[in-house]
Amino acid sequence: MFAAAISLDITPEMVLRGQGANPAIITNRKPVLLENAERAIQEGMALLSPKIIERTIEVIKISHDRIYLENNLLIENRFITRELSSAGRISFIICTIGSAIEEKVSALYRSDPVLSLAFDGFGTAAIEALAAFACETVRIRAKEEDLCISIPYSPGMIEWPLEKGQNQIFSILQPDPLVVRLTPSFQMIPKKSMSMIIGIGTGFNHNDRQTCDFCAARQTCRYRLNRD
Amino acid sequence: MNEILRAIYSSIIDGEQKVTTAKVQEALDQGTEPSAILNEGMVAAMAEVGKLFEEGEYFVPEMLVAARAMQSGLAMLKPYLVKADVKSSGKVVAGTVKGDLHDIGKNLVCMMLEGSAFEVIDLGSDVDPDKFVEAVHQTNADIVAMSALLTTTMPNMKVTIEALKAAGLRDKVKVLVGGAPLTQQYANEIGADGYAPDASRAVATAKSLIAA
Ligand code: B12
Repeated sequence: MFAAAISLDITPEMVLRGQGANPAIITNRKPVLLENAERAIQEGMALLSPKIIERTIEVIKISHDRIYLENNLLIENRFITRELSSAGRISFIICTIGSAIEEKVSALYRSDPVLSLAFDGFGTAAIEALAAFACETVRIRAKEEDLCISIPYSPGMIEWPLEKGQNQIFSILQPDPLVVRLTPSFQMIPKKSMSMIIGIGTGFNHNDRQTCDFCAARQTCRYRLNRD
Repeated sequence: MNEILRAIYSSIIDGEQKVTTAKVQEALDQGTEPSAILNEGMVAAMAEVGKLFEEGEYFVPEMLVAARAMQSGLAMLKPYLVKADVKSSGKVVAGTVKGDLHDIGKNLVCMMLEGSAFEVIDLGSDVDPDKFVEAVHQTNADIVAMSALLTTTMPNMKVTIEALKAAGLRDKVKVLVGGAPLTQQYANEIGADGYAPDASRAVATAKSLIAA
């Protein structure tokens, strides 16, 4: 678990993007959606219970398709091995904002689906901000030792099957099931959770790559297009 | 289209719920045919909203705002439609497959189908194959619409199709599938009758399945 106090700054623009909308366009066209986003932040912040579960593990040896880690741990995936071939350590991360937001989303759905979606967008914005906060903390820690970090890689990305990756991350981190657990179909509960790994070493330069580059939906995904 | 129907049409596209209900009331008071209010005012408006979404002009929350306006108008209209014996476009049993908790996409598809005068029975998310079968059996549905957002849950679409076969219902119902990781090719492989990449095209596909 991270020692650093978690701080999340969530703006209405992030909440609109979390609903798959372009903030600049939508704010003018449907001001009510901006009001809903602001309301979701106002009421939603108190419902967040952000948790980051993290462990950094030394790399012992890297083959063409395996990363051997200390304590007999292993990552077996050709794509990840290639991407992290210069890592000296790997940070494993699971983060979640808890389940109160999704309970609110379900409770509102029948009576007010539009506001319900605003809370869902808030939840997506919050988990993305939390994941970014976790990455930034790993980056700052690495920098203190003159090391740099890779981009984050998540199971379910194009070349890292969900079932394989989630099993590896969950078996390494063994999170308290009351905080976050994995269903038999490898979906995390609470829903607003993310899992990822980050390489730490000397040879990473991520000016030339982004996590979205490795997504099958990169050409069409509106969540990506609204970010650019 | 007359003035009042045009006002209903644009209030739905703009998502102005209060204007929609006021104008529907006005139209009813004027003695406008309920089926004309439904088809020319509402269904046509939701078709335009779907088209705008398909083109990338409208965003998900805007579709919801429009659907909300449509639904409040539809609620007022329903008793008149029943009285006039106006038939729905078809009956759809919808749900996200077993093991999958994503519901935003499925909800949107349901709303757009309702906006196109389909009768929708929404089973929610994480729906067991047997529950789909039971619902088809009980409701005599024309279409089963399944959603999956994860590669690990997509195979449960095939499991559900097999369950429909085993129950002797496969020939009585069309199967429509969708969700971010799906493709037309995958839909063909599992023996679905239709696939659509978004909620607007889901409506068009559902209509063509009914017509087939
Ligand atoms: C936002 C998002 C998240 C959010 C929350 C999701 C939510 N809503 O609660 C957060 C950040 C929490 C998240 C987390 C994860 N996500 Co995510 N996420 C997305 C994203 C960007 C959008 C999903 C969404 O809500 N879309 C909005 C709705 C409206 O769209 P939709 O559901 O696709 O529905 C439309 C169509 O598909 C279609 N449709 C849907 N159902 C049906 C049904 C029928 C019958 C028809 C005809 C049509 C149809 O019509 C709908 C409307 O047009 C997608 C990528 C994408 N662009 O779609 C990835 C995506 C779903 N996520 C993915 C992944 C991998 C994950 C994680 C596993 C990553 C990780 N390792 O941490 C986690 C898992 C979380 C968990 N609990 O287990 C993958 C899944 C791929 C896979 N291998 O299974 C996707 C596809 C991205 C990708 N290509 O990599 N995610």
